[in-house]
Amino acid sequence: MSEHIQITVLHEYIDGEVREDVRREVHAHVRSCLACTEELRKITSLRANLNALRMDIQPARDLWGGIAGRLQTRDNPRILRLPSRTVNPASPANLWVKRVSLAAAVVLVAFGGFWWSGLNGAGTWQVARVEGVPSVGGETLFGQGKLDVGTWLETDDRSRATVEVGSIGQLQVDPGTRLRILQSRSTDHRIALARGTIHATIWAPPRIFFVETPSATAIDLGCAYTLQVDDEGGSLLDVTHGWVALELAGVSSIIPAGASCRTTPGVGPGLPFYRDAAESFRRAAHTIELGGTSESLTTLLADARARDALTLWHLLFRLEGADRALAYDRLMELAPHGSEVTRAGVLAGNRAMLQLWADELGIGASMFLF
Amino acid sequence: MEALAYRETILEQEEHLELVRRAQQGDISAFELLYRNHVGMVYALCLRMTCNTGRAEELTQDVFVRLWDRIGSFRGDSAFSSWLHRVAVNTVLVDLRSNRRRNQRVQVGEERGDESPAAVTTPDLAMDLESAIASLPPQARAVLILHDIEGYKHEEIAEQMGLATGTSKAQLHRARKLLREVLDR
Repeated sequence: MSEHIQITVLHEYIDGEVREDVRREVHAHVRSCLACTEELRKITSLRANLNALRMDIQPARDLWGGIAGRLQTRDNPRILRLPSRTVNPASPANLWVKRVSLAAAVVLVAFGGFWWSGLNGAGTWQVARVEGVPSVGGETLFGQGKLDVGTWLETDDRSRATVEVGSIGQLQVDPGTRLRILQSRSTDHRIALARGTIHATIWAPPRIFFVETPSATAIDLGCAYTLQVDDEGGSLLDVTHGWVALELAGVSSIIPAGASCRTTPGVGPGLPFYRDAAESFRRAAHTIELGGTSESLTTLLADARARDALTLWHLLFRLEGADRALAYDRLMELAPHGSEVTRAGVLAGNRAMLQLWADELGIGASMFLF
Repeated sequence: MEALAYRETILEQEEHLELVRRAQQGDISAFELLYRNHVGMVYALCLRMTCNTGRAEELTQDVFVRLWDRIGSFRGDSAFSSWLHRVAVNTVLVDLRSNRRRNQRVQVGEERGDESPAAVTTPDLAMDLESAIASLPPQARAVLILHDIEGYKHEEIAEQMGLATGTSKAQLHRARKLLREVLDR
């Protein structure tokens, strides 16, 4: 190849339209050629901007009247190609049947994807640059590439990337992030997030996708979430859909959509809390998870709403003696349990009773903790 | 949220198929719902390709009238929105070709559009880019829109536009070069 890569070849390289040998040649060349690297940067930047343009623009006026008028003068389309249905689609009952069927179809498709993943093994994941200059294994990533087990993906303060987690989900990787794949098997997709932020969307069955941070392991239970790890190894998890569990050395928390949870090195998962809880409540929860004060416990119990039963239920595992009794009494005021659960049983740490109460509180996914 | 988009897409596709079935039986209210769900996508394509709001509105109407004529031939082999998109692209390209022939009778050289989506609807940083796209020569603009915005491959573009694949690639490179020149000014 001549001193610089032909501009047309660079375009085709970015578009993924070059042969593998050309791709390797371009890749090798740009590592040592600033001019071609800059040219690639400009092309990819333009492409990214074009990709970001709106795909949907509404006309300033409603055009349907004109269309309907023209349709009046035409024949109805009479060729029936799609199988017709005998049900009345307007019936509410049928609508429910349809929605349940669709939901089942979605689940089947999702599980189909999972089994496909299993049958095909996992291994390498696809990674794609979104903006800036992410690196994979220390090499600049232009366009798309592969992320092998053990290889670090890093984004600087201006770059972003996406990672396809086999066929079970996707990660959006924010600037300032460092991660690598630890395990890639059909039953165990596991990454290490050393620092930075990922937005994970996973459609696999529970306990297939794991993120190990310096202070806990995040376990997907079928969900979407954001996980940030700071330079000290602490993390903040924000769940947007479904459920996530956090675990470290026997300490567990379960976090539903709308809730968050911190993790601390040497401590593990903290108390999950809903993001709309009172500031005083959230501060008190954080103080308690770091060792706590009786004053914080008083504040937390006083400021708890019925919805904050999530936090109080987890608190039962973290307290002992009189403090656990205080938490129990407040939780009973907010969300009393049924007759199969007893005060003595909860205060003694009876797991079956705690599970029953969790079910009554709507923390059904807590089954994954026991 | 990719998973949600994925799940919603499946639900929407199923709902669209139900509307298509009804439209195939002559149910114009079902067809109107299909129009309401897809008009934004069709109008965006027409506006970018023509750079003229009046012409884009006419073409959008043409696309849906053509869709009504053809909906009986939709077999469900592909997603409905993909099929509709091809009908729209085909309608727009036929119009551009006939428009070019008309213009060639009265002027030499390539025409320029007079409005861009930015001028009409885009009040943000994309405005410069939309304006720059509108300033491109028609054929280069069409290839750029189909390849870089709509996601078509060169082979598909070449087939739909009646070009050689190499010409499609050359027009794309030309369009990107011109875009950068305009944006760097």
